[in-house]
Amino acid sequence: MADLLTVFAAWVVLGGVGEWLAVRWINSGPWDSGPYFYVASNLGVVGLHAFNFLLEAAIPIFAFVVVMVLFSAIRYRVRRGERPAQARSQARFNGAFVGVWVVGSVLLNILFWLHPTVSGLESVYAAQLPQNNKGALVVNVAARQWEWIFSYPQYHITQAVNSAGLDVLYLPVNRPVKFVLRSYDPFHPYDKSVDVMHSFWIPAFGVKSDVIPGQTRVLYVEATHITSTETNPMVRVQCAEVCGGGHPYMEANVHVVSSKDFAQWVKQQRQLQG
Amino acid sequence: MASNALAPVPEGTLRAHRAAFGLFLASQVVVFVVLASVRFLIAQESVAGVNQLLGIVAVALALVAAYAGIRARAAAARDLPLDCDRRLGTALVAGALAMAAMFAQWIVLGVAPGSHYGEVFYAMSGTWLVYLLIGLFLVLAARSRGRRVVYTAANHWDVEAPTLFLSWTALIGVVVYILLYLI
Amino acid sequence: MARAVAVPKRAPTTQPLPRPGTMAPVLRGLLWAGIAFVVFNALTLAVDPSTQSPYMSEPSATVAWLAAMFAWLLGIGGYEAVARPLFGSAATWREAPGWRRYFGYSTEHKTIGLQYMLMSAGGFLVAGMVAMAMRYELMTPYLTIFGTSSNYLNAVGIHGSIMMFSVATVFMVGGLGNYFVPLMIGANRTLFPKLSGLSVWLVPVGILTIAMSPLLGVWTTGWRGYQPLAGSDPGGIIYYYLGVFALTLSSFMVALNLTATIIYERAPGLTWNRLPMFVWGILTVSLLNIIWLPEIQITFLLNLFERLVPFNFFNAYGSPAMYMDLFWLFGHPEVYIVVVPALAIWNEILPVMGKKSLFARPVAVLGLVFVMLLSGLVWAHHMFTNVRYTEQLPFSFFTEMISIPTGFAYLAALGTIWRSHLRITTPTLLVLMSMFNFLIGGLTGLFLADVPVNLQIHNTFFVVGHFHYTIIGGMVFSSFAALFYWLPKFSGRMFSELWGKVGAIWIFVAFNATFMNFFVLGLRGMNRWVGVYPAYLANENLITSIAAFVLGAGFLFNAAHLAWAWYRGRKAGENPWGAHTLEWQTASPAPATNFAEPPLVAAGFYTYGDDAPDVLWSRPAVQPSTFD
Repeated sequence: MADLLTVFAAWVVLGGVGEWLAVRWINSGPWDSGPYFYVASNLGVVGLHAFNFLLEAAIPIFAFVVVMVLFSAIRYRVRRGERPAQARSQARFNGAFVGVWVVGSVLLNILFWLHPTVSGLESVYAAQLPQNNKGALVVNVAARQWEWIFSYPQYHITQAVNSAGLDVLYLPVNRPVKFVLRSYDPFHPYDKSVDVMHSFWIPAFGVKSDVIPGQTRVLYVEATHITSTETNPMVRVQCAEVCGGGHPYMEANVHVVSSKDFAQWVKQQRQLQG
Repeated sequence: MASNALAPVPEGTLRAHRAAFGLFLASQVVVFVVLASVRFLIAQESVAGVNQLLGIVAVALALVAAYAGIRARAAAARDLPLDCDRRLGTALVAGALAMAAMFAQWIVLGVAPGSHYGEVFYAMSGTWLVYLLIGLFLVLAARSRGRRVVYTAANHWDVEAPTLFLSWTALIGVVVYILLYLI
Repeated sequence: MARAVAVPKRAPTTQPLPRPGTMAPVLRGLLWAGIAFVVFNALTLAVDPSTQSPYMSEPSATVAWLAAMFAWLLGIGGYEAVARPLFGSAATWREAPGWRRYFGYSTEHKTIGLQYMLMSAGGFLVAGMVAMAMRYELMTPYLTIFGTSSNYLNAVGIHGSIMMFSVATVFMVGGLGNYFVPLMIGANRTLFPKLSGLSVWLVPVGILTIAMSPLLGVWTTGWRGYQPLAGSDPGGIIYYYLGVFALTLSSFMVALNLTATIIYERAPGLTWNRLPMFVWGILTVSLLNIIWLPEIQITFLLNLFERLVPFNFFNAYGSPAMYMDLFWLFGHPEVYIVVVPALAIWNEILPVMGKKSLFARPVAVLGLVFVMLLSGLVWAHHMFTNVRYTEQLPFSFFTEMISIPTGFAYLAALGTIWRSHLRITTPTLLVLMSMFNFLIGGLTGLFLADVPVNLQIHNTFFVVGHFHYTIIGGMVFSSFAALFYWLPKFSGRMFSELWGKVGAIWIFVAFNATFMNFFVLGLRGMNRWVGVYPAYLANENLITSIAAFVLGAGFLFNAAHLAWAWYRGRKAGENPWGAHTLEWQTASPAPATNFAEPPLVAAGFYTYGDDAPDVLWSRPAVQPSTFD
């Protein structure tokens, strides 16, 4: 009985310390980005909240197993010089323990599926519906080995580049963006569709979508803060699926700006195109 | 040749060998499940360009080879090594002719280059031919072995296994035929 | 159990020694393989000349490799032992006595088991050194030793393939399985010793093929071989396909052999209800292998022919997503093939060390079985970022569900050590460490199973941390635990408790110091398959690399300790741990014939306590060990 109380107390203490540390982590970072370190989109917030919930739920589970292992290893160990005798208790089953464990693990797993998976996905799916993204800015993203090409068909910009001639992604803040993703090589001499899988990922946006040759995929995201790659390197487009030797270099800078600055940039790009 | 007669196999061991061999044959069905999945995932166009006669001939010859194998096994089980040898030879000939028929089909297959159906055809029938080749090799080995040792009713696993494999290959051939020639 | 008769250290062999002048099997195998390679390479080029090189083309490299593989198997002894008897001649293969028998074809299951373990350890060394090179490269954000990014990516692929297919799935199943399954079920052999003897020699073929594949061209896909990149990669990738084919063929033969042995060769009284935990682990894993290895083999062959013929199954004109489905249908059960024997080992060792009956044994067995059954239902959780929305939910559900039976191993282990009398030996320590590490691996899987979170951490270092925690934390630590636990059985000698514990703590601390960083790196935006990365990740990568070097040294230290203890350790008795399972009821080191008569099993092996029944009806006199 004393053993059970000690274990319970240790579990509460270790779990408590773990939760305290977890909460500190969760409430750290810009805009409480916590474990995601830098979140600047609507979808990222969904993922972040799911991560936070799971972190807080996993800590008591972790603490329980660790406490049981450490307690048993210390309390029931054979001490130096002691002759290892058979254990006094040879219980081979305990209905309460097994019952609580099995039922508990089933319930916990169903819970984790319902929340945050299903609940989070409902938010993600809702954000992907066209009717919830009226007035979306359309950005055609062509992923080729090893370059991201951004074009803005609504503004007749065929390839957005910065002053160094490198592809760049400019987005207006707080406006839904419709990324149309294709693995497509417009510069290939004879076969534009001969390309490989890539994955469109902006770490600060908390979401990625694979880009598969032969498929056109759509991703609706809304940037929620004005930021850029120069502000925080997590705000960048990074290919997240191995695509050959240039895979680590397949990046593009991102700028999330106010709608006024965005309009100005659009004008600039169209002048560049002539 | 009596001194070369094989010692009887204990019943328990024979049962174990048969079960393990059955497990092996069941696992190889997975290979054709994958090929069938590929057929239905990317080659949904209907059958075209095949020579139905060659297809039927190839499968029929494979079934003949399998049947000859079954008869060879029966002969070995009745202590008739000469009959067994003869029937294994028949199986070899029939099997080789089945392969030839399928090769002939490959040559005259009338599909456009790059057609998914054509590619799946070569992949699936090619895999089947590999299994048939292995089966015929094992039958050849069984026949050669049978000319140096004597198969008895109590020990003819060396005939049983290759002929079982040949029967399985023929049945798979029927499935392949249905998938490539009929639907 | 006193020995009545003093036996000489080396008993006389009953077979004549091989004739002098007969070539050593490994050398003959290499010679025959070399000749076959050159001849068939030339033949293929004669039939199908290449426009790119007069010396080698992809088809010729493939045909030559196949011929060389057969010639190698014949050369190391398969010719006399398998091929000639297949056609009717008498078997004339003679195993060399002493240490030489490990370097040739053998049909004795303990020899084969040790061969598997040594070859697997060799694969661990090769892939581990590649990992050390990778970590050296990752110490800086720019390229250093690898020169080009493609070279780095090839190293990633070689590391992953060799580790997964020659270490993770081979050491516990082909190695420990072949050695201990017959011993634990009271048999003297496996059911298909000739097949088993051949299968082990496929392992060096696979490891060397993959390790040397860059010679044909640097391939960049990583161990998953995703299309359509694989189709456009240089020629080395065909040796990745063929090397994996050889290794999976070896594992497939092991699976058939051990399944049949477990079903049919059990000693009298060893009912299914009394089957040892490790044997349950091997049985469930072997059934998984039997179903899924043919699947990945045909997938890889389709990929190979996609290159050689060529076909259009997996590129933009076909379906790259189909490749992913076919790969992960195997790929997910594969990771359970890796970890299930480890979970079984925990519950094999803890009752012995705690002198306490295994708690909830039926639940532990059900856990292993249900993990096996559910493992084929979760594969698309590797593809959440590219499957339809409708598919994400069911796969997420089954992924959550499979964590339930995985937890049963913990249920049994925790219940066993509670109120036990636990000897904190090196094996105990390593098992508890394995439980801790796998717990972290499993809990991080909880995050990956959650789709919104997965959309962020998929294909980042978070995933790499997760699977290294489950594989190294689960399988590698448990393998070390098993090696220390069974060292007296292998060699009759005991390791040093001090150095064993030092080694265990060394790798535990270094392992956690290395891989805990991976989760943070992933969350901070580091993607996979990068030899260069943005500069803001440099400091963390530097620390990780240093910890990784310490970990590598720790593995070497443990291996050296085990090797030393094998030959110079203190002599141990037949059953130093006081275990009840059958392998401990015979001499240590295990004799050539495991059991002079089949043991008659009277009770289960996991009941301890002062009034526990004897597991055998009668104790035969332990025959002296003549196996060296």
